Amino acid sequence: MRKLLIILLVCISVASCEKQDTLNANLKDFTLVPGEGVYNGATRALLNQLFTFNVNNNNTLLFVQHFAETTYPDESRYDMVTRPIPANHMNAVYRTVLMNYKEATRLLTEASMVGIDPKLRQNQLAMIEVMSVYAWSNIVETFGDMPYTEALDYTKPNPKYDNGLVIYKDLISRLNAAIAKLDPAFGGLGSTYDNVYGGDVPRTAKWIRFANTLKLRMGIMLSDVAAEAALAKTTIETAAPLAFNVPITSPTTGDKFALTYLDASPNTNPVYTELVLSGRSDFVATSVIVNKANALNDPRRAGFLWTKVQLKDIAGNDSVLVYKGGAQGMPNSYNASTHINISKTTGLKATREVVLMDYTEAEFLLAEAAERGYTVSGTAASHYNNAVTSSVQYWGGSAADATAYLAQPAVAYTTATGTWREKIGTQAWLGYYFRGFTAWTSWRRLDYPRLIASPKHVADVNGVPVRYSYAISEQTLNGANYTAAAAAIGGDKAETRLFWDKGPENYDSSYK
Amino acid sequence: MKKISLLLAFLGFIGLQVVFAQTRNLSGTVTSGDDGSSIPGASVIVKGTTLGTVTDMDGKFSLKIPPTAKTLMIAFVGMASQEIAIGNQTTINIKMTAERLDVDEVVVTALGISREKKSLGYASQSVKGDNISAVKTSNFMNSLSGKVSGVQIKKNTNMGGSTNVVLRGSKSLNNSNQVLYVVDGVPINNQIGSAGGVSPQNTGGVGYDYGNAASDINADDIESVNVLKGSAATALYGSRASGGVIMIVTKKGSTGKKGMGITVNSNYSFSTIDKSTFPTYQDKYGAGYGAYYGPDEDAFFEKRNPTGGSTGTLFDWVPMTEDASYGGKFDGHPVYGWYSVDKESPWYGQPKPWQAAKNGPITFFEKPYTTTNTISIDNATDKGSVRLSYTNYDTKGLMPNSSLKKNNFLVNGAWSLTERLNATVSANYTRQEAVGRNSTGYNDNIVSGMRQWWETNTDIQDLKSIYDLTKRNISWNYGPSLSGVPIYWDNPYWTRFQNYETDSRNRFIGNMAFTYKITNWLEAFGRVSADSYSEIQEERRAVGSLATTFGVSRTNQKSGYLRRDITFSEYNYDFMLNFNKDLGSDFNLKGILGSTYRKTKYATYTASTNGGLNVPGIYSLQNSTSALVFPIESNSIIGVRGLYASASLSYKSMLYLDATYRQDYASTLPVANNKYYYPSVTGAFIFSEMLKQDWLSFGKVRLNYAQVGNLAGYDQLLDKYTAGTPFNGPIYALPSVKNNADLKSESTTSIEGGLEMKFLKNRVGFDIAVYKTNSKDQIMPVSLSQTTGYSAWYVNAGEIENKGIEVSLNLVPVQLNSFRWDLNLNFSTNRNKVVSLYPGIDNLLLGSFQGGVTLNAQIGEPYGVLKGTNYTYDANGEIIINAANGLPKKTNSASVIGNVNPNWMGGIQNSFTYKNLTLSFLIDIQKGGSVYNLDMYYGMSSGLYPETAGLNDLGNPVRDPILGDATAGYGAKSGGYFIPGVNVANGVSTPNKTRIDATTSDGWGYAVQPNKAFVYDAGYVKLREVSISYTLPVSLVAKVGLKGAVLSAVGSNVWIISKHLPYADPESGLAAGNVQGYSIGSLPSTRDFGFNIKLNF
Repeated sequence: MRKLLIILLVCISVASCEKQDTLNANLKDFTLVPGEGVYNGATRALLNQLFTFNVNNNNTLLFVQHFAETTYPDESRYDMVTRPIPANHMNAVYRTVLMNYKEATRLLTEASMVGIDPKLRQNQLAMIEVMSVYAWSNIVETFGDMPYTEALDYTKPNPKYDNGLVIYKDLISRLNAAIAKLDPAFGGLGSTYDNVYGGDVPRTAKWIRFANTLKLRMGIMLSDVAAEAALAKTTIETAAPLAFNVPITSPTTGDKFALTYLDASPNTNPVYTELVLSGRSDFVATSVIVNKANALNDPRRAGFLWTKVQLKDIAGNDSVLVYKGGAQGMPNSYNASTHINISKTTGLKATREVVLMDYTEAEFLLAEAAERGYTVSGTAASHYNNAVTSSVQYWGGSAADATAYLAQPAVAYTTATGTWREKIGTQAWLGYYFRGFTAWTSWRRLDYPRLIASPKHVADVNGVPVRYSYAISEQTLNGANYTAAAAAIGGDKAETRLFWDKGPENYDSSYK
Repeated sequence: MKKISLLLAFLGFIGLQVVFAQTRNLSGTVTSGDDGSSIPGASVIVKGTTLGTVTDMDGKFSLKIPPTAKTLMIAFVGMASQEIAIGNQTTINIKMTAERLDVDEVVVTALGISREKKSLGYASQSVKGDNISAVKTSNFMNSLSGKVSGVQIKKNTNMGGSTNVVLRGSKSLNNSNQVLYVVDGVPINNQIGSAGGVSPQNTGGVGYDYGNAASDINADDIESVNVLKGSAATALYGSRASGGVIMIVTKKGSTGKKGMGITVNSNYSFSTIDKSTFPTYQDKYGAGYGAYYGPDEDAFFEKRNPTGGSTGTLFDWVPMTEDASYGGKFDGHPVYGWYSVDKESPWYGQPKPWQAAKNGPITFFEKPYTTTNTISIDNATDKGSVRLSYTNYDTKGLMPNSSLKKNNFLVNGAWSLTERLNATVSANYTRQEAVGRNSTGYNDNIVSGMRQWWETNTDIQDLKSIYDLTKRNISWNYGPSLSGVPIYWDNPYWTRFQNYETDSRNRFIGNMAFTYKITNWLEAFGRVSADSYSEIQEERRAVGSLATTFGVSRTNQKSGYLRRDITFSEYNYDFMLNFNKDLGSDFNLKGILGSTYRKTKYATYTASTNGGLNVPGIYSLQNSTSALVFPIESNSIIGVRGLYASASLSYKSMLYLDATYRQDYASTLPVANNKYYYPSVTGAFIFSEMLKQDWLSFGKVRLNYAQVGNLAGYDQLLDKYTAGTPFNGPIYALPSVKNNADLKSESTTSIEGGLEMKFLKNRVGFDIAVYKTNSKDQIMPVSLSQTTGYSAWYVNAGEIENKGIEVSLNLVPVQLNSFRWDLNLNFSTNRNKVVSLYPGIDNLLLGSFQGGVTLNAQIGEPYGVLKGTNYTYDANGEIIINAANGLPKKTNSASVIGNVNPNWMGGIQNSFTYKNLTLSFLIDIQKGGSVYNLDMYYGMSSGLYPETAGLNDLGNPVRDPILGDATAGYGAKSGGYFIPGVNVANGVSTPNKTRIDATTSDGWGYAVQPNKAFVYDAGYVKLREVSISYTLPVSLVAKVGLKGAVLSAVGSNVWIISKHLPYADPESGLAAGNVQGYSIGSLPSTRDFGFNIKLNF
């Protein structure tokens, strides 16, 4: 029996002498990955966030009154608390986008240079930098003051908020530096990672155009900031000649920064994901945009994927098929209102592209630059015409449709009503269909078209929001800095105008 | 099922052997040693045989005994059992003495070491196995509620769902706060749910409560349960026991009682719904959100022709796209609806009268029942003992198409190999199979629909008929086009019979141990134990269902199949040297030197189809429409090695001093910090031994100090990237939580004092424990502002303090000859406080719920406070209402609006014994604690509840339009209602008079009130258990060859005497774990009634 005991003892001691250090290893996840793959994921995350319709993530298309809701109009009534939309936007852009751009930059900077031309690597890093600047500019344009110099660093768990204008100016200089580094003789991140332009050499020129279009917009954004007139001028005037310049003559041509999606989840178009895959019927076009498009006899209405609604004539007989929008801020009947055609064949497709910036936007910005008195080639009217023509053709209209459209007195630049702000603002608002943030920012800067505050709105938001309120999580996790930032921008309200938003009152709140 | 019939045949064979020659008479009297009175009903049995009788009214007995009879066993409830040698006697008079309650009770302590309870310097409380197995539920822990002080047991209503068990409050900010289950000295796995940690299911996302793994322990095999509450009691178990330990001793073949014994136990239980835990619906208004329908969007009904088209003559149609009951008033006029649409429908093209449904949602539920059958055989010889048992448990749930089956086999054996060497072995195999667990949370949960989004005109039995007829997903909730899948809610019968989950688990728990007596004061002990299981969970969505979050990508999928494979194994190797030596006549020293090693592996593999199923009805990964999204793989292996020593010094059974010291060496900590040490000291002084007073049967004070170290979780040190489904090229991303390569061990320090006294020959006794526990340097993912690029970062920081008092009181108010009343009271209160978190951080987010409510650990507050929007109050504490619109002025979402920890808990157990009949009942009380209820948040707004459809203060229907206004005064016929509170203008408060318009769904619930309005007191008083049992007289059962027979009837959760949460059980939740205090779409509670027969052969 002693033998048995000895055997037992030996067994136990052998088994228990396994080295601890070899355990706990995570054998399933990655310790090192290609920086290009991190860039790929971050870029998809950015475009998904900017273009999704999901009421938890992005309400900008409701704010600019392109869309209304059917049964549950809470978000159209500016409820940003029940569903923490500001937090979800902030988290997505900082954590899933900017942090990963930072990491991609680090990985590529530290990656082996064997077989890599330093100029190619420099291009790759500059492209990531351009995307970072885009994401950062969205953050400032959406919230105002935000953590910047102390952001993206876990060792500073309470990052301070930087002044929005100071951040914006730094972004412009970063963008200038990135543009200077982009060398059109070299390629970029590779065709499987750069899903917008591919990574080949000729497309680097497109990257330069894209970066300059962004720069143009950032300059224009500062044009109402009196103290930064000089910066706005140089920024706009150096960017203008290098912005997108190939007109869009069909849905597939011209200059644009557009991401084409794939057929299968989770890589489907974010609008398709929300409107088709969800199987829900939550959104209809608003009467605000539908009435405007109807009044202008807009040739883009079918291209906007709008459905028609059958209206009865006075005798009660079925008669006409018309576009009829839903009331914004109120419950609407899906069937009785114009909504997105989600048919797989003729409507919204999984693979549909989203457009971050394009020739249309460049031309609207140039029209604005001309009106603001900056030195750019062409006239406000010519850029306006180019922008509208480009937009009509992108949404499936013909060149003739565009000409006819522009010939209407209500559209023609010379005869359309209002100031240049109203003319450009109204057409840009139509031209930025589906592009929530771009449309919202354009409306806030130009203050046109005049929108209507939701007749029923939540108690703490009294008009169409002109910024996202700060994330509620910041109140609990970064309270002191949050409080200071809220005071600095003039109160953490959705109605607080940001530093670049200096135009006239832009919505009618008398609606009852 | 072959095994059962085999056992039964065996059983019959044994029964035949009970034939003995009876040769001589033996008679006598049984009296009480206290007062000399005779004891009727005492059992008198010849040991080792089935021969026996009971004493008559005069305490006399007489029986015939065979020549081989050597010993007589006498037993009576409340008296100490005796064994008396028969010898040549023909008359034996026996004096029985009252049983000394608990004093000499032997309990099983850490590492499976048996100790006299009186010698312990810490609190522990035992419950007998019979007390646990009386009520059959899928989880034996449910039966412990109210029976032990200091334990919070939250049984939820999910079929086979997990039970939350927390001892003396939550001590860990991030790690599990569940107790450790130890069976016969071996810790066993208690993985909760599918994912561990906080999964989307925990916070109301789509998913199932897959139960907790400790529910594999078979209640019928439990001999006793001992609850070790404080750190001092559990220090030798190391880190995993910081949440307390439930020590389970399984039934063994007893060496004391030679010979074969067979026990058969059969139980049948059925359940009925406790209607106070399910909605009561208003019966005045039907479907809709207001008058938004018809061609002009101003009517309560849609207009269509009888087949749904828009041509010809148009009639009223139910607004079927809506899932609320804020529509037209029931008036019986003919209305077309979902039943009119489908060509196969018996009501195709036909209207029905507009009225409240005859068969409401409650008729959807079925009558659950459970059968449990156990057979066990034990045998013992001089050389050892063995017990075999088999249990078959089969339950049918509340939901259609739901069932849970378990088969459990257990072998326990002990064998004296030599004089010095003893071996024991235990092997337990369990197989569990579940079909159709109920989906929990917000989406795809039928009960959420019934509680939040429902049309009161929908007759559930009509939905059943049409599903039975067509086997298609024809729902009450058609989309706008009246074709394709429903808009928000599938037909519930479709969901149950097509979109059901299945899961199964095979588990083996076993150990083998040897004890070698080296000398008479020193022995060596070695044990190897294994706990392993493999589990598969399969989730389905049939083609034809509406899209919902599903699968690995958690995106909207219209159909699909998911499988999750889980394998777990843990090996524990223990080696101990035990010594036990008397030092002189007064002192005794016991000691242990031990080493332990555990290695735990947990691996999961989850894969699902993507983009739907290609061919309907085939649930396989190959049937994916699109290429699969990357499966989720995890494979964690951790190891902990421990060395420990313990010494117990005692003086004259009066003074006991114990000390332990343990070192752990954990693989989950960085090499520099992976060894850590912790001590404990306990002392007990039995002052009754010194005082020697008659009135004082027993008196003890105890005091202890203990520290317990805790290791990090798996993979919290090094940063890793995650891979996403390739987007043309591969996709990688940083994780959202930043790891930390400098982690060190956590530590929990506790001090505890206690006083235990018994009086009047043990008829009155109490036990009080007071403790304070501080858990420091906690390893937690501190929530970061996500502007840092991370949502959280693992750090060592933070401290939680728990302070509490536990009292248990045992009384025998009445003890007569044949009647006895036992009364046990338990009371415990725990105050829990988050002392600190990481510098600069004052809040740790534990979970986010729908509606903007969060569960948090905030400095200065208890662990688990709910935050959300609150009312604002004036100086007098009145709610401030905006005079312009009648709505309460809300705070932002950072207000503390509730605390999920109860103020105190208590249990009152009464047991009455008259001869062989025992009646007992248990009242279980929880005072305070908060629960946030999403059902009322939405369901009020949807107009489901009677509150939204009654009369207002003016006696008018509240849903009528408002006439007039607050300044001019309201018309006598005005509808609407006002919220009690004040309007504040220029610092002056005046009573609020402004009415809220309740003509549409905007008038109630979340549209009006802050989150605080939906936080309810989770307290309750429940009649938890009522049982009656009758032990048949031995004289009677002996005639049919039995040694004993017990019949019993048990009612469980019989009556919720008091609660504050409307229409739901405050205990019902999503799953066990650190995220509590959220009630959403839970199943109603049931009252369970069981009948039990136990036969001993």
